[in-house]
Amino acid sequence: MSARPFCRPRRWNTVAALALAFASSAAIASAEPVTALQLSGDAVNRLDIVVLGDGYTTAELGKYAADVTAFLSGVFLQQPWAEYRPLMNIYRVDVTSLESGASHPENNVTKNTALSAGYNCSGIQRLICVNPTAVNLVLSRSVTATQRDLVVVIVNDNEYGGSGGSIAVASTNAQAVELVLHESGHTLGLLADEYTSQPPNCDLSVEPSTANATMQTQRGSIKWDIWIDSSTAIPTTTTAAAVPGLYPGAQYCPSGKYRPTNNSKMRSNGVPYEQINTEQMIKRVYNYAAPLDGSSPSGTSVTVPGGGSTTFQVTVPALATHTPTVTWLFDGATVATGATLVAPASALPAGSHTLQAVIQDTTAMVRNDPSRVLRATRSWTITGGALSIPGSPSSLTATSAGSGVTLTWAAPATGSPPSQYVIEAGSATSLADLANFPTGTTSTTFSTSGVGAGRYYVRVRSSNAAGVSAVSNEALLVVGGVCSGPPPAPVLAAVTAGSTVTLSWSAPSGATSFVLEAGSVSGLANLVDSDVGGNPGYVATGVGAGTYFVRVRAKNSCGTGSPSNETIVVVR
Amino acid sequence: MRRSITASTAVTWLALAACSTAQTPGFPPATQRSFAEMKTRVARGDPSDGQELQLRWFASRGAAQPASDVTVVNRRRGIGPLPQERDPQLSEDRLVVVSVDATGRELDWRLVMDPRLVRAEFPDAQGRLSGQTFQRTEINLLVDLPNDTDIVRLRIYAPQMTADGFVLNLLVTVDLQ
Repeated sequence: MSARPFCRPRRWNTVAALALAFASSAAIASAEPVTALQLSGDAVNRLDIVVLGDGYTTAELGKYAADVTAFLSGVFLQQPWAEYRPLMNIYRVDVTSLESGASHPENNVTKNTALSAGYNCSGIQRLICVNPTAVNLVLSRSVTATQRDLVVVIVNDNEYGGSGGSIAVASTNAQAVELVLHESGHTLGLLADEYTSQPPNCDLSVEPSTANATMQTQRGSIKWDIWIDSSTAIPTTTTAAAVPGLYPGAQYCPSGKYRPTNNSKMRSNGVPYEQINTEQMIKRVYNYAAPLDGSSPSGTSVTVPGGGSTTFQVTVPALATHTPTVTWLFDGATVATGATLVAPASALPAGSHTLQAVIQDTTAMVRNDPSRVLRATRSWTITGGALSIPGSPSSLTATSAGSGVTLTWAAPATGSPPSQYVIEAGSATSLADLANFPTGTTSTTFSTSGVGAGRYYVRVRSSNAAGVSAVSNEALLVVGGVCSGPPPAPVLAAVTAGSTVTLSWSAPSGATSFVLEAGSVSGLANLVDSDVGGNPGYVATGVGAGTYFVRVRAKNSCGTGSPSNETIVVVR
Repeated sequence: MRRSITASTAVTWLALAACSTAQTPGFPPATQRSFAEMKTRVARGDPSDGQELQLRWFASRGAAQPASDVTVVNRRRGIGPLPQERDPQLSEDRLVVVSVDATGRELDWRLVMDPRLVRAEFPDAQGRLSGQTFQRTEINLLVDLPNDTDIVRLRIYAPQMTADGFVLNLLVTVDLQ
């Protein structure tokens, strides 16, 4: 091989060792600092642009950051970059060089820089080449495989220059932005040059594969025919901008090949890509980024709980000025639009069905998308489940303000949805002796007022046509303020007149009601054991003849106090 | 192609250029095939985890036969997800890398930018572009593949547009073992 003039096979071992050392040093070199200038989504679903700098010393990393920002500002001023920027991630890798600037061999200036950028590459003054091995080493150790869809090297030299290919290279000259945009038309858009100067040679042997060059002259056979107005002459000779047609001259051929517009960024700097190239660039962005970032529920098979519903959702990236549309198809028929669909089990016919979300970028900048890259779909197989008893509510809390009470709880996470809740309240834990009633609604809050003072042990259950759930956690509800314990014992007195017995007692502080007890023998409450309210007295009429052992107890929210003195009432 | 490089880099390059081991095994069954046929025949490997190969390749200019030398200078396994193209399309600026197991079965294919290509395109005073393209003969190629231990060989193809669509011309076979 003529390119190997220094080959000395007898030194193979020495050189192999050098190669190994080279590879080894690559493996252990530290990764360069990477700054994510824009993270719009998972790198797997984005066009990832990585920018490297060359000829920036440690002291110039601030300038490098500013140069990259200025470069990106220039790029994203233009369409379709501006509109589709949200589908891109952008990383800046801080590559540090020992010397500032770039080599200029035409002036015998050699700079020791990290990526060996140099002008006058191949004898062309404005052609800047970099060392691809060094670039790849930086990429390998600093960014992941998904973060380098498009690689750009910014060279710290203000003289206009750059190059294209697998690595786009641009100097810091502001005009170099145009060069990178043109080169991206090749690398990202797979577009042809539309200029006609040679070299390279004109090749008329075969229809080009590129989206912006053709040898076809029949209107229906032109790749971009959908863009050509019926009133536009074929071939097209107008010099007006942005008029799609069939313009003679493309891809280094002054004739025999045609371009879609009179001028474009694939033909000249400082002009737009124009319609056909813009369309292609958008489709190539979508080659890396689907218009769908996520969806829920996960999985592809969903059973909608009987009596309930399931919310289906897709996450769609918003573009600069528009957002792709979402259409929901149920067994192929459109049923809704928007990012969210609620599917109630009651609306599901028996059996399994297909629910599909179709996400479509409807931009007017794309008319021809045979591969449907502007579209993404997400499908589920859904079935309606049988109605089941709902799970228990949870997180019940009970609060009071005066005699007002508010209960709140969390809806059950399992089972079919409840149609209402059942509230239970007891005088002791696990009892429901004070209240047990349905709410009649699916609200997870219940409020009422006029609740008597006391301590209430409260629980809630879920309920639907299939049954009632187990209880929630139990909450202690205290109404009527804070007390330190039950009230002390009242002092009881009784007066009997015929069959009328008039009882009166003292009212201890804090008592909210009184419990009257009467027994047939001392100490028993086998005849009367009843809360008679908050008044400190009670009149009983029509009392049968007999001897009654009577006591009274005072109550408050802390409980029922000790009995009063026992009074013996004799009715004759 | 002339480059501006530092003296130390030049030494390394020259040394590697001079004495890399040639790892070009025998020809695979066909040196030319259609892209459409290849896409039909070869599946895509698992993209959830990859391996990265850095190849040093001394390519014959315009070669359409496996006559070049390739050295694997670095190989990293378990690099995480692979980039995925939703609509992989060919152009003559890209190469096709096909992964092959020990039996010759083709396990995966990838598209990479052709690292040989350098474009020199510049405007005149009116902004009108003109240009040239160059081909590097000393190449460093970073290629990401599925992290499949069965992959022992790569076939690198260059596409060529024909009246029947793209055909793939075998450039080089890389033995990874």
